[in-house]
Amino acid sequence: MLEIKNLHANIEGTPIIKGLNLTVPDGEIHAIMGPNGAGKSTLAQIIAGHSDYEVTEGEVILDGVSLLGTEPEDRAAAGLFLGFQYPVEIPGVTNFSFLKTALNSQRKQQGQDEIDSVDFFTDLKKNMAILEMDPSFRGRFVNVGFSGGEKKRNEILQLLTLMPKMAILDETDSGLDIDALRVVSKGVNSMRSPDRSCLVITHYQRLLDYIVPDVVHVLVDGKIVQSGDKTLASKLEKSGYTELQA
Amino acid sequence: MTTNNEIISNYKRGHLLYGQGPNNELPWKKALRVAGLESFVESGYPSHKDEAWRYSNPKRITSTSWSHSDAESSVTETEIVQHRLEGAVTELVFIDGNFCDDLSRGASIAGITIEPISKNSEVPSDIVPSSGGFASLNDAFFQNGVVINVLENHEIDGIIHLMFVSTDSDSETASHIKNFVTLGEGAAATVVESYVGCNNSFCNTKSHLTLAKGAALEHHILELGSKESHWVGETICNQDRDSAYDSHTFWLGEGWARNNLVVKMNGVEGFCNLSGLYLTDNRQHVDNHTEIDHVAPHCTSRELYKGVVSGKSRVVFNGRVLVRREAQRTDSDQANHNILLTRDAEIDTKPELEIYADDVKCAHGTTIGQLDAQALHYLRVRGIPKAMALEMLTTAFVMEQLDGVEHESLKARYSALISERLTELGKSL
Repeated sequence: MLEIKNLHANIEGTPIIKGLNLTVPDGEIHAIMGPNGAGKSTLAQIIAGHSDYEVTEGEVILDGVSLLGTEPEDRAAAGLFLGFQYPVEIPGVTNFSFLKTALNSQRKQQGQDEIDSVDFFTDLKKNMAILEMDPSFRGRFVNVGFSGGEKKRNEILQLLTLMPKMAILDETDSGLDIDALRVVSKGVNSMRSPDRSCLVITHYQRLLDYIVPDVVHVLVDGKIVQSGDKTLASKLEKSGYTELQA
Repeated sequence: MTTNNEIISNYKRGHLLYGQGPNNELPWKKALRVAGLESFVESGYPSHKDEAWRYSNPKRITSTSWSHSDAESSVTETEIVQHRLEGAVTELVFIDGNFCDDLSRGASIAGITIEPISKNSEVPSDIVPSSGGFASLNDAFFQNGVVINVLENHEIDGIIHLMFVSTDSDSETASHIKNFVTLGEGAAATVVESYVGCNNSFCNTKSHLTLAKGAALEHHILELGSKESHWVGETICNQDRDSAYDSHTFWLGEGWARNNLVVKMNGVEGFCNLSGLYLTDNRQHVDNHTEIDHVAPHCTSRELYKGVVSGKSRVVFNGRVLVRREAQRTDSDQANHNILLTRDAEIDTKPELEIYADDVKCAHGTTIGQLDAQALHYLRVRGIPKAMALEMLTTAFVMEQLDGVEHESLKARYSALISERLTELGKSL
């Protein structure tokens, strides 16, 4: 369960998050929608531990453990995952070695043995099949020369490899065509379980037709201003955010 | 202030072999020593006031009164076994500049002669003495080294490994090493010079490489000096037509090092590739001065030096490419790429292109950057600890320097040394 209590955060002195409260219980999918500049991506980065943001007040708690002040790698090992809006290219590091190193680093931190190589490879093949990714992507450098859609599929491949307790997906739908959206959603839905939860950040209702949320929140000017069931998303699609910003 | 003659007297005093040498030495050795002495008396040591030494002050070497070791070495197999090279067909070991027969190994190979200079081998008759500085000191005082001759149309499959080790002693010990590698027409070989320097040692080495028509040499320098070691080297490669010189230098030690690499492309359709990698830390200093002299037309040269510079270390790269008037249709490409890990690290890099021919293709490029902070963050968000993420990114940056290394065993050795060194660099951040 992810709990965010009265979170305040700045970037270079400018307040972006202004008293945000949010709880995502185990097994649920929540969506955050909101206008440009509301602080959606900032919230995602803060939870994952980006050093550019300064948290001035509040708490972020994952399964009873406070995340603020810990390193990004510790948060990952605690079961947190962030799907990047703009996945980073890493020349010289293959996808295969990246995924295996990430998984084993987390396992080590959790006191587990390294994964068996055969098991790892079997899982990888299975997950790539779910995401309809060509096997050649295993040996390619991380995100280098990938199209926008391929980068997003690769994010979901990491999600399926690492199987986090709490996944935050930051605008995973941006830049995806309908087919890619369907595939990416299939990947996310394949990891749903009673002890995993997910926070989906999006501009559009479209994604939420595929990944159906239990709760939809509206983030405006650094705060959650409204929460409701999945029908809220379609209402927003019609009415826009203007009313809520007033 | 010590005069040049006093420096020489001091070297002569410390150098027993030199005292006995001149009378019973071969004429080429005598001539080279005399020429070396004359040039050094004229030039003396270089200092940072010389343009070529502007960023590399050799004061730590020039202010020391070095002694020599002519003693039989007491070094045992266990002390050097870690420096042996798997896949070497011949391994010649020198301790403090002196040949060590007991530790050397290798059966005779068809088509090649390889022996220490002390065996009085003949060398190419057109060796040109150096024109001053450390190289002249080497001409004057070389103790030993290796003479390799590969006969025409002979291809040597394995690695020829020349290992130069300096040992800890109470006094500050210098060794002067001279190597000759001569490949006949159509001959091919791989030669690795590795240098293991200890504290308070100074190694001054010079290698004369000669490639006849159609010959191919893969030449490596692996430098592994400790913190208080000093290394100065010069390699001069003369290439005849259709020959290929493939140079790989790896600066994976911790000490002070300066290398001059000069390639003369004297015949048409020659090819040379110069590759260099340095990983520096603390107060280390590594200076690479390279010079590619396009004398003949239709030659191709490629050069890529790369490195990760950390701590308060300083790296110098000076890449001169000279394209003479006759060298039409020259195709030359040079690049130097650096990552600075700390604020106090420094890199002075300078391409130096001098082009007198008009129908040529010459490119050069230099980059100095930091590690990609976004990439580092991305790896950490996936659960990879900072130190490991750093090592992954620096490794990814440098590993292309292994692409051109033909022998797998050599590649594996470098790979292990690089990863060890990068772990060290990451620790101190």
